[in-house]
Amino acid sequence: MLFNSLAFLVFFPAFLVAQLATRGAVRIWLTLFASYFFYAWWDWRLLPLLWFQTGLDFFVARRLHPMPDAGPRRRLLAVSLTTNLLLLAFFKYFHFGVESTRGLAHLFGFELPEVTLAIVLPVGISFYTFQSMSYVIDVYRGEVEPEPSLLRFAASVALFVHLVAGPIVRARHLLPQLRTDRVFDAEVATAGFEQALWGFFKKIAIADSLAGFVDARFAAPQLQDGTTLLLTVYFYAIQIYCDFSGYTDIALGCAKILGYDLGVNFDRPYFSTSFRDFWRRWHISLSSWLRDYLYVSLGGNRRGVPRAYANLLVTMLIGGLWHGASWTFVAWGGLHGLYLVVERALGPWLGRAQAALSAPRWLEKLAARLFVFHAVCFAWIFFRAQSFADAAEVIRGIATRSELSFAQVPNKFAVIKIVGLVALLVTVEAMSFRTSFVAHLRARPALRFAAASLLLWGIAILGTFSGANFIYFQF
Amino acid sequence: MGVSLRAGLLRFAVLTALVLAGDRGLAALFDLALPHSQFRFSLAARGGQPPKVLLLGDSRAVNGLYAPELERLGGVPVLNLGYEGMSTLIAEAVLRDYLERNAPPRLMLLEVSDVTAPHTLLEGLTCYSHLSPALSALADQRSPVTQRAARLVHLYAYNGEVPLRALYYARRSDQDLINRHHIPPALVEEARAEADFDLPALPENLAALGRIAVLARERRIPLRFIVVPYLPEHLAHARNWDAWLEAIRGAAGSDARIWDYGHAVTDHEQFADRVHLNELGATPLAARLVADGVLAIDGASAPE
Repeated sequence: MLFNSLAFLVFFPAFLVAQLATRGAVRIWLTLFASYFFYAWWDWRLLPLLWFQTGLDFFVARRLHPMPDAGPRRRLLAVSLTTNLLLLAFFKYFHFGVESTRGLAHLFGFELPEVTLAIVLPVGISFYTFQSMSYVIDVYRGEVEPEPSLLRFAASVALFVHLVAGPIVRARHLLPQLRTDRVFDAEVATAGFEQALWGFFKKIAIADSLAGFVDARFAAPQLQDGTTLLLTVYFYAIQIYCDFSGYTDIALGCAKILGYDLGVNFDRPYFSTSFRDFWRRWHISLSSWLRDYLYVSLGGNRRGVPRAYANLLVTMLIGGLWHGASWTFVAWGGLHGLYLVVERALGPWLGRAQAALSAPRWLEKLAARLFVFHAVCFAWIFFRAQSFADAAEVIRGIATRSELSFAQVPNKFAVIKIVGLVALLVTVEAMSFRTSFVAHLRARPALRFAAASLLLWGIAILGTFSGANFIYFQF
Repeated sequence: MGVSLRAGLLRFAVLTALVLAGDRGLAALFDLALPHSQFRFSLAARGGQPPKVLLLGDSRAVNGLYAPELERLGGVPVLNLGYEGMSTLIAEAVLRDYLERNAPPRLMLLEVSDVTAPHTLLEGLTCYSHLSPALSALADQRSPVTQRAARLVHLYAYNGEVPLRALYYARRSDQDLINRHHIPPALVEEARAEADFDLPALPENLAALGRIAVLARERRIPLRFIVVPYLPEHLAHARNWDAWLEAIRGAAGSDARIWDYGHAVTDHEQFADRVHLNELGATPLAARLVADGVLAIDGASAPE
């Protein structure tokens, strides 16, 4: 079930009413049933996979906890991690692995047969696998007590607001919230409603309006002039941000209405002044997961500078691959890894250069933001392109076919509408840094009603009601 | 029911009332403002247009029949009522509404390749439904979901490019609306290599074409059917060109003449893409149309 569907508009209020009418275990059963229903709406045949992974990690964690010996504990952990990763690998990376192997064999003069299986990628598998794995690792590390109730653990994994595209909520954060009945709080629910509304606006009015333009240009980059391609790359940067952060805002907002706090997943990432800063603001639940369970496990920065750089690169390469079964995603992750390594390596030199230049602080910040944004946009080309050839065509087009003429840009009205919406987004996000403005808005109910009404009217007038999927569903 | 829940419900009720009232109020304001725009459909809906040469068709009419140039060269006022995605069926509804409120045109030119067009523009024209009975009836029949949505949320009628254009052209004419870019060489190459295809002619569009011919005859308005140029590399792959023209001629009436300029332009610089001219192409074409007498108003009472 999509958040931006009529079905969800019926489902969510019905669930809210049912949740308010129930207590204790009945409420958890209801949450679990509703979450499975939400998932099954997309494809019920993949529910057993979710049940299996949930059951496996629940029982492994229960067995792990009392074990005194390190060897058997490690082996049991390995069973859980291997099973989870094999399932993920099979459903998500099977064809990628086969094709990559065939390609490699071809390079060495061997021709391997083509293997094709009709595998359906279970929606949300990357998200719930990582969430479930982190629970077992936390129990193994002794950071979390194992959950005694399978029902509660299953509800924490399957909770519909985060099930299919995150955020990746740690068990230590969510399980305690499921142990007590969530109490409806009008203030929190109002804030949640406003957040969800802003998410709907970002998805329906901005991301989906951009989608048509972006998809058409990336489908045939060789036919576009440089100015159009440059606009397309900028637009994609905004589209993916509004699509994913819009989804997250809807998820977090709905969770708040239900009484759950799922944390923060985006924090105005395009205002980042460094790449490190970017990864503290973009898909925070994934970047912190990769940091805590991969980068740290590889040794982090505890084993010297060269090893830290290598760990960083490996983490980002795997982060790229997590997004999709394609080498273009790996390249995207690799580019970000490279950015982080170079930034860390040049850190002291940059500090001295900044001091020597003694430019005004605001100018430094602006230059840093523009630089980071453009480097991130460059990486997005690989993320969005269907192949390296397409990515190269986009880069070549921008570099060689740019007349910088708006006359060559097609769909000018769509472009003008999009530019207006992006200006609105940037203004809202820039204003949200001013705490006095936010406090002023929050303290005045009339302003909040007006803002909510404007968003709803804006969705009605500017929304693209194509029923488009969220980009991150494919991951 | 707890205090907090009551407060939440109250806030939701207030917001719902506010949103609905604003929806109705804002939409009513837009409804009032819409006919005052200089945009083509607003001009038609406002009524009172003097006798003009009326151009109809889809985006090929917009970019192939350049109204300012035709007006300058032909010495007669011209109104291009064509629009991107306007199928013949929509053109018929637009024409019927136009004739209700405006003086009969001195001449009508219908760019007939709109028989290929699906009826996607209908949704975009929802904001004109309250001003255009024929359009509204067609929309009820062909896009009932959009119509129902617009009745539920009135502002939804203003969702789309058409209302934005009406706003953009609030104070100035839209008749110079035309492609100004030219086709990229890669697209010409792609057209050269594309697979052969058949030009479609939707049955409901052919039927509408016939009804437009009858309507013109009844109202004694001269009507000419025209096909503006396609990129030659693209058109070379159309297997059914002659049969397609014959189907159109059959629908328009056995005595109808199709002014076929499909192959008339060969210079790539004069195209915006495979099926659309740009300003560079439409300007000389206008001169040719005038020279060929396509715009001649000779008092003929029957369509040619």
